[in-house]
Amino acid sequence: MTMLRAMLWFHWRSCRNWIVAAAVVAAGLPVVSLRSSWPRDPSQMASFLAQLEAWGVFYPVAAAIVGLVMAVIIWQADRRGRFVYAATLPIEPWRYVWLRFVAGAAWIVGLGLVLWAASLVALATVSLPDTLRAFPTLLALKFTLAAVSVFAIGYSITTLPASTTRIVSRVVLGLVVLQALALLLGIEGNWLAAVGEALIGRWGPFALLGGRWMLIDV
Amino acid sequence: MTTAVRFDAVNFRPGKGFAIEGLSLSVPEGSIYGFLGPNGAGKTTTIRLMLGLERPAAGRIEVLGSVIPGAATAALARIGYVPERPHLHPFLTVRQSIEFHAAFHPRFDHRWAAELQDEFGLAPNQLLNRLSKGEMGKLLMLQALAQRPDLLVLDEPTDGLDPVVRRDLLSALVAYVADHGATVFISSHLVHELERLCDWVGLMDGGRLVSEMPMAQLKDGVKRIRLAGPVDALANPPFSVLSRAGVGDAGGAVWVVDGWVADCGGWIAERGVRLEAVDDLDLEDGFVERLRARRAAR
Repeated sequence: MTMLRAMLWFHWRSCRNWIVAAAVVAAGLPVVSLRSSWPRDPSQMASFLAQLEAWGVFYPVAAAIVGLVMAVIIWQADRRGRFVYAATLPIEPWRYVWLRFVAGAAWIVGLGLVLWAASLVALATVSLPDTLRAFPTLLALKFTLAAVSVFAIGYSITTLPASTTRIVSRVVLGLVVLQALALLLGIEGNWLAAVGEALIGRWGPFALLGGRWMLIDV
Repeated sequence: MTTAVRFDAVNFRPGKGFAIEGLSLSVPEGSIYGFLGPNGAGKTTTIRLMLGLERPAAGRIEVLGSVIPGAATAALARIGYVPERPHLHPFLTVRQSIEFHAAFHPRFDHRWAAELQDEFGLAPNQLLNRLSKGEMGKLLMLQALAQRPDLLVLDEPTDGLDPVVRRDLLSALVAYVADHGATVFISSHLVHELERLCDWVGLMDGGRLVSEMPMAQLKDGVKRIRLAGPVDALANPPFSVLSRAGVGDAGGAVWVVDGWVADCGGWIAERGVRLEAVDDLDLEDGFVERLRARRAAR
């Protein structure tokens, strides 16, 4: 527990600018989306839901960015020191990697809580008609799980040895170049879109990023 | 004699060119072992192998009874390490760095760390990226000592530090060793510093251990002797000649020899050569002569 506490504090010191920025976004998104979409006239409730759904795109984007950036910056401090400090601590490497992961995920959960609290605050400012229901907990939970899943996958990649990460990056870059060439040459097939769909499709690793992200729905 | 660190025929090649080959050394428990060598001799690489940061291609490394790198975690809990290049996180303050370090070291002595912090004049709220080189050196030593280690591994700990800071660090080190009987493995190219501090010494050059012996033996065994007469008569001497220089036309010579004992004077006299002077060499001269002799023999 002492080590985890130390690691949480360490992450705060090393990533606090980013965590604060992400917290501002997490707090602002439900408030701004609801306030800007809420109709002055109750007869415009139908367009309200459409507007709110449009805002809903920002939640998975924010979750993906939070997870991805956290995965990238989490090793920065160790990379700067060429991992010498980490490697000379009396702790098994797998445990150190696990502690870093848990601490990173804990900060993401914290951001999820911020989103949940902000959603409750935003909902407190409006009076919902009987036909609509609010889903602050589900939204925050979905945001947290999506961000953690992106973080987990990004973290797995950034934890790989540098040589392996280079190979993975080159394969991805190669696929993008091939796709661009295929488009230029008029060859049919959009396999990048297929990959994207596989990733965020029902059984994909980023499935949580798909679907509807609604603070209020019918 | 129990050993704190033992290398047996260790081979390691970190990249093209340089290689550690057949490295065997043993550091007696409770000793202050000076690891000497010119820049690029392989001192830091040896330390990295010792800490499990590198995996040897062949051979066996044992540190405090643990085989490295397999059981490095157990050994690291008992090792205080001061690296050549500071490896602490620059965005932490002095206090935060100490607290973070303490969280991973179960034997960390907070009270003593606070005392050392005062003694070294380290401001607790100072950011590490604002510390001077001397202050960083002190913090590294503080963290290593406050772990209460059984083995201190110090890689050029005073390199580039002013004499006052150097004295502060070495005093703290000596006090700790005196109180706890810990083993110290200290690498340096500052020969005079080690001469005062160490009771064992290992000389490294080009990835190989040139020699390893008690400091007293190294200092007493290497002499500069002045000879007069037919020095050609001194074939197969009971000592090894590290270097020879002729003096004048009368056949006199000045030799630097290793393994000198009192009886050697009689052996020389029996062969009709007059021994005019036997001078002690300090560790630095002895070190340089040994390296020269080894390089000439290659």
